[in-house]
Amino acid sequence: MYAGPLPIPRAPTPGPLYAERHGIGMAARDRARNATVQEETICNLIEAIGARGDRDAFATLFRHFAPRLKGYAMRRGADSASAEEVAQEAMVQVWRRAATFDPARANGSSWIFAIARNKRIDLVRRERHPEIEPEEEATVPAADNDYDLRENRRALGRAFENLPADQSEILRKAYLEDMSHSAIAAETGLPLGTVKSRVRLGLARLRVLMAGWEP
Amino acid sequence: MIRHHPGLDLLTEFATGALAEPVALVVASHASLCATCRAQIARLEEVGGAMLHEIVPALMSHDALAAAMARIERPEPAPEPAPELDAATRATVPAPVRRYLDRGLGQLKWRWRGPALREAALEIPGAGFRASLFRMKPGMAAPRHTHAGHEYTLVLQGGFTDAGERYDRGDFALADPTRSHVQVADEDGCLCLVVLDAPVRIHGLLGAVANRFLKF
Repeated sequence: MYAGPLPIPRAPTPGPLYAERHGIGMAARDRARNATVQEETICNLIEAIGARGDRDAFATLFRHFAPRLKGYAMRRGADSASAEEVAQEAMVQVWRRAATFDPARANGSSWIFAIARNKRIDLVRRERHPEIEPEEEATVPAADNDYDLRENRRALGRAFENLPADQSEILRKAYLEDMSHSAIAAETGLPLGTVKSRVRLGLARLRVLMAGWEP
Repeated sequence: MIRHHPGLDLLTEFATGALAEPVALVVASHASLCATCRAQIARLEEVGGAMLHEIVPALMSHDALAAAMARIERPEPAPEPAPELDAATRATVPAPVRRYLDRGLGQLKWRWRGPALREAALEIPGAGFRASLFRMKPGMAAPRHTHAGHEYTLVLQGGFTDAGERYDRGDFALADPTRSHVQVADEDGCLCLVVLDAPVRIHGLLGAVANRFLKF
């Protein structure tokens, strides 16, 4: 979705990337396809940082993500200065951790989301978000063998646009404002059970639930 | 084989960042031992990644990129020195919990909580929560108790039985206010990570004594 110009509009790799990135002149269906193209670009940029400390790749990622991460931090009530600090710190963490990024395990943008989520908790809430550290390199469970990250990323983009408003509104509160189900219930006046079932239905429509979790 | 997992609600709240640190610790520790929940959390994080693309970007200050480029050139600050933990502790306690330990299991200050239980409190910020390691003596039952809030339990070693269900290493249990329950430890005893979000009430004679110790 094109949501306004970037503050630093001049990308080091101008041309198609910029237009692609912003879905300029694209129909909704093309935008959804574009999300996948873009996702591959993001993965490549992170890998370029991890492999050879590519500073141009970092600058490109920064231009795209830093304003969004700042917007993300402000959704949690951070003022402009603290939100910018969250974005800065998260991007520095992207730089430092790029070598550990594994495109087989996560899409680039969800990897960055997890880093930003932890930084926001750290800097805005003054807590720590404990990180999962696998005890042994266990194989991917059988239930997940059929899960294709890129294919699903494409489906996610499409599914988002078709999500019923009551479900997408609650998912946005959950993800962008890190509100618990009970906090959402308190704010919206909806019964807790309704909040939980809307989250569950929304996630099912986005096809991110593994077998056994479907409502 | 892990049989008891956190519900989808908890995994979602972990992925969105909504959980308080002590509860997030139980989920992260379970997921460190459970490949299935790791995979489900990774999928839930995909939704967060997709949302980043449609968020309204905020204006960064004009020198933001230059500042970031300067920051990445600076040496990374050294990580907090991790305490030396013995091999048995490392093998038993999952990495997320080890970060809150300053000494091995054998050297922790274990407090008496009735004949069946010993408790070592963990220092985790989070008002209104109590996070601890609990040891249950072999074959003994924790006193029957109810909760004003929730009790999040992760088995780290040994196991217990509760209402006919077996819980072994990696298994997760959530007890809510509606349930009064009794856990019976295996013959080898049991070590658990337990997080409470409100005081526990122990029933019976022992309770009169133990409730005094378990107050928040």
